[in-house]
Amino acid sequence: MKIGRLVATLAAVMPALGGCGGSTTTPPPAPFELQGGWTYLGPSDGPHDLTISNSSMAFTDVAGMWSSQWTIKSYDNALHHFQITFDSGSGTYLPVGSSLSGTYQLANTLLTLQVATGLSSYPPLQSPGTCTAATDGTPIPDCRLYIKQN
Amino acid sequence: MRSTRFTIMASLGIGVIACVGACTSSGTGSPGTGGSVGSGGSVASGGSVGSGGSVATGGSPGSGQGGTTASGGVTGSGSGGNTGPGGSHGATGGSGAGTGGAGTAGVPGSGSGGARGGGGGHGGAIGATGGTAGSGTTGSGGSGTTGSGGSGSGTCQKGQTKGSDVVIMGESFYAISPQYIQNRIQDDARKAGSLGASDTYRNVAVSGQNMSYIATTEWTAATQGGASPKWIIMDGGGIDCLTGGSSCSTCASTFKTLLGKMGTAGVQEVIYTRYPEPGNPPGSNTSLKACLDATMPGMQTTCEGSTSPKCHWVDLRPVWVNGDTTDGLHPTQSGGDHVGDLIWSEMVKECFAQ
Repeated sequence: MKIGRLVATLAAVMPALGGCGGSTTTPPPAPFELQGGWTYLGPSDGPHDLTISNSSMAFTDVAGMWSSQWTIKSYDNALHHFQITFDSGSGTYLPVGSSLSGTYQLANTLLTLQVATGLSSYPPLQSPGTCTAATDGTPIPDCRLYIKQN
Repeated sequence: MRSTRFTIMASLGIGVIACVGACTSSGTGSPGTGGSVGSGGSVASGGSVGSGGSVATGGSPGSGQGGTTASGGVTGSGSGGNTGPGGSHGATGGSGAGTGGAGTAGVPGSGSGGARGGGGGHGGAIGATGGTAGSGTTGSGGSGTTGSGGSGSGTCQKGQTKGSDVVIMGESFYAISPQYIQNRIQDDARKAGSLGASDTYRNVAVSGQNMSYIATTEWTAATQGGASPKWIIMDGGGIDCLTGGSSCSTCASTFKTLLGKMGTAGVQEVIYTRYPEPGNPPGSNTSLKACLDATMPGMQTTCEGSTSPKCHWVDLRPVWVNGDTTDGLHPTQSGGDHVGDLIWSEMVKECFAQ
């Protein structure tokens, strides 16, 4: 009798629990579209790699002289934005700052990354695809160009 | 009648005696008639355009047994050749400056041999001076040999290149910092006296750019403000491969168009560098390698088919070894040194921006 009542109670409650669970579970976010390895092309810094996951970024000098690790606080594939905070660094690493906001353009396998200090606003992408001024070819500060690695 | 017979007989007798007497004289070694003195060789005329003077012939030896030997003719003296002409490179040396150098006149030849004229100049692209003077050959008496025209190749005149006359175009291979390749070429050029100590080439290469961008925006930058570069060092097509596709079908035609623009603008010579094997180790980036292997033959055909400007195809693959790249695309210090030295050797060979 007691067992029967318990089963009945559980039977009544379970659907409700299921309903609650279904209504509060958010779908997993789409993976960051920049995930993967990137090779730096220019214009100003030395050769380095950029490795991106859903939760972190790492800039690594190809000669092993410096590196920096960052945590991704947020990203938005639709708006092409992200925010990162500094975790650790060695050598004369880049980029510098405790937190950065980034805007990017992904054109085929070519990535243009523009960052700015702080989390308050996203920088405009001044020269997508080149990171150099159209007028005189001078490099745009804090703009970096990468090509997707295989 | 009787008188006539006597006269004939008497004459015959005298003739016979005279004849016998003569034969006797020959047998005793009396000097014969000396050979005629050879005439002096004619003065060797100055070789036109570096040719030597003509041979002065000596006198023919005297004949006659026992006769004194005829002396040789007066020795002809060949004058030096005239100034040699400018070399063929002079034509590409720009107006005026490219007329080739003056070969100095040959040393006058003594004896019958003509002097060898001045060597033909191998004018450089920047109006190099002519070849070295031909040295006169001394003719031997009576049988001098004709001085041959000078054929010295000219030297490439150095030290007249402005850094801004040399422009580097392309993408990150030349643009990325530090610019090891450009720095190495400049170092080589300075050591050779071809570039001022503080002078530099113009680098308009922009990272990540395809052939179309190079042929348009970069060319515009290269000629901005009325600049008129004479020599171009460049690459292109690699980004087209990196951004997709198994080959770049438009790169060769775009390159051809660019070369046409360069020719119109007065560019004299172009060095196109064929990319090294991509990847680290070299060749390990198989997808990019496949695209380059498919694209570069067309670029090579285009380059080598260009005469104005003359385009030199420089393949970087043979000098690119392990350690020359870390990221598989860009040079390390050693990679920059290897590439820079190869480019410089081609520049020296072709009298390119010397």
